[in-house]
Amino acid sequence: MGLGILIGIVSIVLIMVVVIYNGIITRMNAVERGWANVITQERQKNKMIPHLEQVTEQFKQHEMGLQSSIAELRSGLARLQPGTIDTATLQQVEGSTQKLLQGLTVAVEAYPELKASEIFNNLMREIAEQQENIGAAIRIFNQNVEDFNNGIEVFPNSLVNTLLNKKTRVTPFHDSEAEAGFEYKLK
Amino acid sequence: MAAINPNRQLAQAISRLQKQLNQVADKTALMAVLEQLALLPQPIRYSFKQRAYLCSAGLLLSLLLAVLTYQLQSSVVLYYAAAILALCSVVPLLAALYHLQQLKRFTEHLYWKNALLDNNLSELANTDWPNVTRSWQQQFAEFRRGNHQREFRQLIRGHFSGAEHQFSYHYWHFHYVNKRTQVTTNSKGQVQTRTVYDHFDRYGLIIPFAYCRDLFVTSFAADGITGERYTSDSGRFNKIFQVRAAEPMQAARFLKPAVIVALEQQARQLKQLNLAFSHDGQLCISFADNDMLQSKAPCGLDQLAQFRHSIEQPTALPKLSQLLATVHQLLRHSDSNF
Repeated sequence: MGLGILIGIVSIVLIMVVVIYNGIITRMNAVERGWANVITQERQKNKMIPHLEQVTEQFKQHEMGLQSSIAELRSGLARLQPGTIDTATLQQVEGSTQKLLQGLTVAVEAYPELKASEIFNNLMREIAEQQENIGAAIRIFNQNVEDFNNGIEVFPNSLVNTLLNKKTRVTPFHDSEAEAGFEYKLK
Repeated sequence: MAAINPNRQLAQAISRLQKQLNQVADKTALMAVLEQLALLPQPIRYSFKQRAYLCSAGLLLSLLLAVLTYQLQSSVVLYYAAAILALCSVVPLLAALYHLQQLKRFTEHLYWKNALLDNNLSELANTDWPNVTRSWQQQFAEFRRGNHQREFRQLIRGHFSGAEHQFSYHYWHFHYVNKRTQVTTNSKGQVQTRTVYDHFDRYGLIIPFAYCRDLFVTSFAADGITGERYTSDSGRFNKIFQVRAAEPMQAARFLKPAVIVALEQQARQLKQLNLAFSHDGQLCISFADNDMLQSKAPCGLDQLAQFRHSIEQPTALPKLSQLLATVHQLLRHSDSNF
């Protein structure tokens, strides 16, 4: 009788350990998938860069500044890797994007005919949607990070993680400018 | 000439204006109803104080008569007299309650009609329903719920104009009944069976959506949904929704991060939210909330000036506006900008 109870308790504890262990692995994979998604969305900008270069050629007064912003963005995108969670580089890329968009806004004021151009407006709309998707991908990544961090820090998960998984906290991404560009704020 | 009883005058006016209200198709016609209300003696309310006192006294008297008859063991005829007195007191009270209720319903209907007009919505006549709903029932599993009874209870047509897209849509209310047999065993071991009818209501929108087909995003799936399972990048989205698509690539293309976050937020506002994209390019959004088109008047008709002022202001339907904004976001992120 006593032995049966002991075996029962040990079995329950073992099942709990397996469930917690697998939960931590699943949440870590979700964090990595979320990060890969952020990189995928960021790299969508590569498709826009040739169009942007074509457009900025028309901004003679502002060409130099915009071309350097595009070069900065391109090199930043190349540094982002799906396998390595590098929020610092992501922040630099987002900074470059904001700089480029601000430059475009200033430049377009000097060319009213371009402001009315359909191709330019479509390009700006596409860039705006991309920025929304990047903002949302970052938000999903941060949600997954929060779930993962909770999953390794609450008891008894922290015990299982210390003994078996040995995972460390992941730092969420914080960028006020990128978050400001995100429009889904339902009341 | 005897003066008309104000209560009777009000009851007649409400019953006449109710018929007029049913025909209202624009704001001008609605304001004409308000103009006629303004001609009635103000404030617009029933006065049943005298009737309430008399009826209460009658009820008290009948009770007293019944008690005394019982105590004194008098003739049974007095019991009948007490019962008739009670009946004569209750009937006018019930009539008063009916009139009060009628006025309340009229006020609510008036304000609701105003909310529909302010939001580009119009009720569809029952005769048009079969033409509209026949193809829906073939396209969506949502309308194949219920093994005993299925019926549409409300159909409203609307139009939305956004910054990039505009579309016409239908709001619907669908009622279905599930029939089941319940078997119970009593304390003596006897088995009893009885038939139980469970009633359910679903609400939603049907919108043309050409950019996505054969995809189901469900938190309360109906039977008959097929396709391959797809999981998104968001753990929270996956906890709320199940995604099935004929082609997983279709789901991956549609479920962009911005779409995922918009749907996560929408699911916080609406219970049992489903999205079904049919093969024919229609989107059926369904949910369990019954207050999508609900709008409460700030005051009653007894404060007619204030009521009229609220009618003159645009009436918001926040839940509907929010859902339409989400649909606009889905369209924006699914179309091509080039």
